[in-house]
Amino acid sequence: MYGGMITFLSATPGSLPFIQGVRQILYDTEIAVVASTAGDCRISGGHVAPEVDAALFLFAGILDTNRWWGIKGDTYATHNYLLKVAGGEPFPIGDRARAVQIARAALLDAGLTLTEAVRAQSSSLKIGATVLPVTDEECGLLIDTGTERLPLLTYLMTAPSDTEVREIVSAAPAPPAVTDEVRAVIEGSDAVVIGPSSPAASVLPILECAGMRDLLRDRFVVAVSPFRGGVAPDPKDAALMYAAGEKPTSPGVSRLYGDIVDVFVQDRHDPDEVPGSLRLETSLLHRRQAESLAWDVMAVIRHAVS
Amino acid sequence: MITFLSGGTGTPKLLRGMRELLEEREIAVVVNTAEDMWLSGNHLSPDVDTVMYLFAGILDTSKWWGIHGDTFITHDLLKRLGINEFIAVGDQDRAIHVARGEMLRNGISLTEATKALCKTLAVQATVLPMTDSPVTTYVRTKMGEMHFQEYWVKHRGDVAIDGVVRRFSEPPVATEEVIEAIERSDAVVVGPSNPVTSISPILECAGVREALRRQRVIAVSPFIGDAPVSGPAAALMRAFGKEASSAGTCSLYEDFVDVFIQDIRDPVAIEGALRLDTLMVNRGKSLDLAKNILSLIYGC
Repeated sequence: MYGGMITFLSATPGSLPFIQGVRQILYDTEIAVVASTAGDCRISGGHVAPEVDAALFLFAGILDTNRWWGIKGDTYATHNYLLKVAGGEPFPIGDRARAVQIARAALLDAGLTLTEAVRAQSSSLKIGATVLPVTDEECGLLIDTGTERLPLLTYLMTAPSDTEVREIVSAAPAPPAVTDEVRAVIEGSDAVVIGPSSPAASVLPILECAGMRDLLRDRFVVAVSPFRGGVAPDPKDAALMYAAGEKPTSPGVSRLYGDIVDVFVQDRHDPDEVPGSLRLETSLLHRRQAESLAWDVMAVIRHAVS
Repeated sequence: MITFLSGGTGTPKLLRGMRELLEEREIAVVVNTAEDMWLSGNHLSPDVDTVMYLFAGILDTSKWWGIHGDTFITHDLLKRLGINEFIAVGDQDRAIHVARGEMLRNGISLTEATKALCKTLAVQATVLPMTDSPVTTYVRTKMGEMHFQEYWVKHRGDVAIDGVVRRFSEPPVATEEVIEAIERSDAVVVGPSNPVTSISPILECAGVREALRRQRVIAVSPFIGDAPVSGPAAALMRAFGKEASSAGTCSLYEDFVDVFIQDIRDPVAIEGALRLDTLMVNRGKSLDLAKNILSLIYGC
């Protein structure tokens, strides 16, 4: 139904159901996903990239869509045995997911950039969509809890939900630069969509890459708020929002994203009004809800861009 | 206590018999580490693993490597992703490599890492890597130098070789634990492992030969005629400048060996050698050879 490319920023469990919904409307070849690398780290010799992996698994048709990470039907022989013989791992890594992570580590160690490694993996997994890490530079985030600094992924997967977040610290000395591939794909897109991902853990690390906001100012950008007012937000998303200097509300998200957004979508039951926002049903608990939101957002884009 | 010098084939079959006859705590095994490597981000120590798995009761004794009943899910998917691990790493086996890799990355010595793994696997015997510093056996081929595991596992030994070399950044030194085990033992047994790639790397660790010269040493030849009982020993012996036979093996050990055991079928005559059935094709044969060696040591 649609000619041009749509680029999605971020591939967290918050946004992936929405992207899955969009796949019912667009061909995979019309979809690009720019993944945050803020949670990337090496675990057990593999290169763990939560957003890249989830996007790869989604388009390969193997994503576990109950929890929106990991591979459906994966086994845990290595992980379970590690629990027995050593301290275990920060979170369960499946045997198949581990293969993807080990393969990527091998490609990186052979000198490929992350972008090249992900392209090679996309091709091995026969993926039609374009999956791009936002940057090739190392830019992991650390969460300062007051007592220690946890890598973002460790915080998200293992920290108790009431863990204090004092500060979100970038491990990189300067903002990492977006890759040429990301630049090209955004410039070639009709619109950019920011799904209902955790703003502080995923979207901001993408927006703060050098060059990204300038790129987005020239594009039609639709952002969907992950917060719905009356509904209690995920405690970690909330803690990260406060650390980023805003409340976990739609107005807070809108302020963090700033002037790059053309259409801000918030839930129709959200009591915290963002002036000029588009009100839609943003709950994504069922496949039909995700498809419905996808139809609405695509209609907005078609109307604005045509 | 008895200390064994072991590689990954041959000697473990003798250990299978020994562990049934002896109190396991009275067994120490000094293991070759010259085939160790980092693979898929983790640390593979093939001979240490085989010996450790044997004592843990989880060794796959149909192949004499790997864990019995292991799966290969990660390994198989890696192949489809274009990464060919030339050794089939099982999923549980990989967990051991990950655990050891993490310990080594955190600055723990190989000896300590092995001790920790043995503890969690409830291994009573003392499994000692020969040294804590990396040393690697390479074979010289027309294609250049090749890691021994690559030569033997990937190319199945089907490549002409004209030399065997050991590479290291600092000359390997036997650990204190190894020397102490040799000194505290009632006797040392050099098992029927590959003399060039399994036993010689241990002998080359500074301190080992001297300690062996002061000990009572029984060595078992891995050869019958010019054919090794198992493994790629023949071509390697020649590349190492030694005759591929019990005689060549004996000459590698001559400065410290007290009793040299060769197979009853071996056509090569060695003066003073003890003839025993060394073909350990089953548990019973392993037990018989073990019993014979123990009666040599303890005289009963």
